[in-house]
Amino acid sequence: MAPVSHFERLPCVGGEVVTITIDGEAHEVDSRWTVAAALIAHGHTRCRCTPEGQSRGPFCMSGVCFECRVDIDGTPNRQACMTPVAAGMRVVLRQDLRALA
Amino acid sequence: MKPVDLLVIGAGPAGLAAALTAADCGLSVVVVDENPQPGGQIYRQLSDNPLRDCEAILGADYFAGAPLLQRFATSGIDYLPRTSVWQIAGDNTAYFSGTSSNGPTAPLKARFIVLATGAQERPLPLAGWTTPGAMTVGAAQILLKTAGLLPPRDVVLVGSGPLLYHFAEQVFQAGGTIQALIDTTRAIDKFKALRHGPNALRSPRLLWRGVKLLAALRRQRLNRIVGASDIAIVGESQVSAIEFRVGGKTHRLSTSSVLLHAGLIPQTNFSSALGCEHYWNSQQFSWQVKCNDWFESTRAGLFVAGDGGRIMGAEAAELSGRIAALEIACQGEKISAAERDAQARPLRQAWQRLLAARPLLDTLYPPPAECFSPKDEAIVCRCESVTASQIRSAARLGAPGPNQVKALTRAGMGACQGRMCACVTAALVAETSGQPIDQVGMLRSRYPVKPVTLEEIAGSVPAACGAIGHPR
Repeated sequence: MAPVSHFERLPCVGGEVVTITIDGEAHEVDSRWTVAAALIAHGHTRCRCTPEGQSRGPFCMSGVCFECRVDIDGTPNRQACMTPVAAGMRVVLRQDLRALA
Repeated sequence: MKPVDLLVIGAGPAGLAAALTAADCGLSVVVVDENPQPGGQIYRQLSDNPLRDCEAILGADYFAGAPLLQRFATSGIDYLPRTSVWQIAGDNTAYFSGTSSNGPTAPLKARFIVLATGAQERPLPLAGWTTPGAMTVGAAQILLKTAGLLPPRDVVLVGSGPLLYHFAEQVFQAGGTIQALIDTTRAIDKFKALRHGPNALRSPRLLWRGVKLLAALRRQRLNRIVGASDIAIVGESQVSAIEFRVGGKTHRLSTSSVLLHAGLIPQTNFSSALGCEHYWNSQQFSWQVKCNDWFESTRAGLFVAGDGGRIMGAEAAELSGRIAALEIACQGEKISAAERDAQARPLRQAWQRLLAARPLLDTLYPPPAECFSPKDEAIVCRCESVTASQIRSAARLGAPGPNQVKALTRAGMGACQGRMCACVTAALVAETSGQPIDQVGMLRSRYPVKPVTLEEIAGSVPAACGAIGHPR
């Protein structure tokens, strides 16, 4: 098993705690975070898989690279780094190759 | 929506300054920005920073944006956060996509437009840079600024540029550690930069900040590795190590996190899609939009302010936004040419002083060689997984520029629309064909410049629904 990259949470003030699910698992996150920040804080460096089968994850955090695309509340290919979290949000990572419909 | 005098795209220092100056002159202004809060990347999350010790960690340069944000917050200027512009039509009508609470934003016609879309980090296509766990230094800084997240303790920083050192200092201030900083600049760069030293003295504050920063990092005993080559990031589905050569010997550091940085380049997708003329700036190694002294592009009424035009830094970006807005107010007959010139003169002098240090910084921190000549096996187009070797083959087949390479290999055809690969692809064609890069040309961007759903396209043209027989 590859090592997991662990970003550390520094002491923070203000904000609210909201619960989102990542692949069905509930996580408490700061309401000011983006989905990509929530993923990284919980050790999810992988968001999706290319057609060639390579894993990819958040890279630029500023909406440029489009590597952090995930399913959010049923909508595919949303940029996790450009989407603020919201209470009850459901995030699904695409680890598998996408089947053609 | 009712037509406005000025649409500003981007709410960083350049955009906010342009909007405020134009509104002060009596122009009607709308500001649109992708992020939930104004401030751009530099002042991101400034008005509601989550870090308990944000002042100690992020430093004075970050909080320098507070007055500007405060003025904007109380200005009453129309502001559309979390909204992208995906097209500007020939008649200056802008089309939006976004998730604002009041539903879709109707198209908006503007007499003048300021593009203040800022910079992006220059892609550094090392072998293995697509491996999860590898990110940019800017990305890690955004995580620190906006989410209070500190990089893993075994992190390795790689590349070239002041941001590497600035971020290292922020990590130390936050109590974090850095396993190593691999600086790709060479001794010859310091020597070459010497001749720009005297002119840079016109910007003493900037130089002093740099000297203080490097001294602080020496005190922190930063493990700095210089003269590294053949850098490769190792790992299958997660980074596990970084390898490099120094003095003929191969080294390997185990790590879960590699942060890359190779300086900044202007984001040219929008100005390119709009058909503005661009040129290759050989000092900053990037494509830049051609502008006059008032930051007006070759498309009349379209201005490009801040780092989106050329890399100038936040303070200069703010000044460029104000200078552009004065010209807009003059063309819009709100102020006379004499008033414009009188107000612009001190701004322009301050702008030139700030720019005086740029040649020194550009020469001291040139992009690593891999930015223009990646290893054959390195992926260049991340979206379509196209390697440097495939792009070199396309160039050998006769593809004269990145637009033809795109047709042959799909490089630049993916979701990021060439933002990550266009510059590298052009450099590879230049290398293979032996032509200068400015003759190879830049990748031409196409609309929509940001992803948009069919629903949003349909929603932006209500009149068309009747015309094509849709049920109302």
